[in-house]
Amino acid sequence: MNTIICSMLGIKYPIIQGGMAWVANASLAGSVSNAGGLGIIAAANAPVDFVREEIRKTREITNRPFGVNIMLMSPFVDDIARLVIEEKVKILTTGAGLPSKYMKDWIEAGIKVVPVVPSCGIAKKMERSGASAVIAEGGEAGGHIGELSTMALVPQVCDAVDIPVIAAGGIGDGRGLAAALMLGAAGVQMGTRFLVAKECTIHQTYKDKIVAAKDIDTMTTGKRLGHPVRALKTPFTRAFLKNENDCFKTLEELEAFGAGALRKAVMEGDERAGCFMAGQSCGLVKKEQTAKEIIEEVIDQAKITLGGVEKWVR
Amino acid sequence: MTFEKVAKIIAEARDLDISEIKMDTSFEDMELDSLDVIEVVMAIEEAFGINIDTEGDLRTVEDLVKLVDNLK
Repeated sequence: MNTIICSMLGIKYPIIQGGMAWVANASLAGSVSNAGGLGIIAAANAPVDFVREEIRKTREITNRPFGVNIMLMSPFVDDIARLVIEEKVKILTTGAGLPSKYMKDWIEAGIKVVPVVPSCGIAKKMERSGASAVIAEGGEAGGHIGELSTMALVPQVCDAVDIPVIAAGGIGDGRGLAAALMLGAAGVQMGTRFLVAKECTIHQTYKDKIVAAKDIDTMTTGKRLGHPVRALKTPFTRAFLKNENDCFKTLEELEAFGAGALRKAVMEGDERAGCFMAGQSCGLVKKEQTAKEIIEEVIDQAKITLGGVEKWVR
Repeated sequence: MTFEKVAKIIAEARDLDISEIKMDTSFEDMELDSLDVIEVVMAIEEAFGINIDTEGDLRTVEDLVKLVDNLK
């Protein structure tokens, strides 16, 4: 399966791994890239030295293309923006804001920039700023999310821009990839499915919870803070929602309650205080597999699904 | 003069009452979220033929007016 995204990014399959904070490290990114997808290292809130180390480690694991996800709300974002140029990273995805002010420098350095966008307006703005493609991510995704659903957002973004669109949010298997192509996308980004990759180094409790999770097992918190987050329903997320609905709790108290919760889930598997971010596709994730097995299964299933399209139009 | 034009564009882009848009009105006062602000920025870019890349720092109508005057 070869789409415009494959030739643009130098990858075999049109599957990009989500830049999940605290999760997407060299081990996962390198394995996804080796399997023919595009592995992504999440810079998240991490300091420059940490990200540099992950980039170098990824190069030891793979000689195929990989990217870095820049989290634009990071306190270190200016330094990270320079680091990726120094380290000659070829592909960037961005999240949690607009990368407009860095675009010129990145493009001059020959970097392909692929921002995650939640609306047509932002997609157009990114196209104007020189983005190579955009990732249209619906609210079915895990972590920080936008309002629109993937089904509605992707075709509208495809109409709004002339650059390739990658669909994200709610895609967990080959049927999702096939559907994304039907909506006009040139590929998909998957996060939740890769949480349980064997090469993903998150706490085993996190993986077990994802495999056990069903369709209704995620919820959204943080709307009051202006940046909603989708995560598994746990004592933590339920307590967060209760605090959020308590009008006597200030925004500062809410922020403080959520601080560090993702790290506690990823590193310690802390079921009480950890925030296990996951998308609605968690119910599609049935077992741990290697990144290669995941990617090949998704591609094979997408081909079968697309090959069967005729039966609906006869 | 920039203010009048900017206020008109904001009002039209997001279906707001123009009489409530003053120089010191913030986007938060107008209940505009970050996606709404981008729609406004895009409309301003088109109307004035400019390119704004510091949209993240914009908080009030005045910020936008000053930026337009600098870039025009």
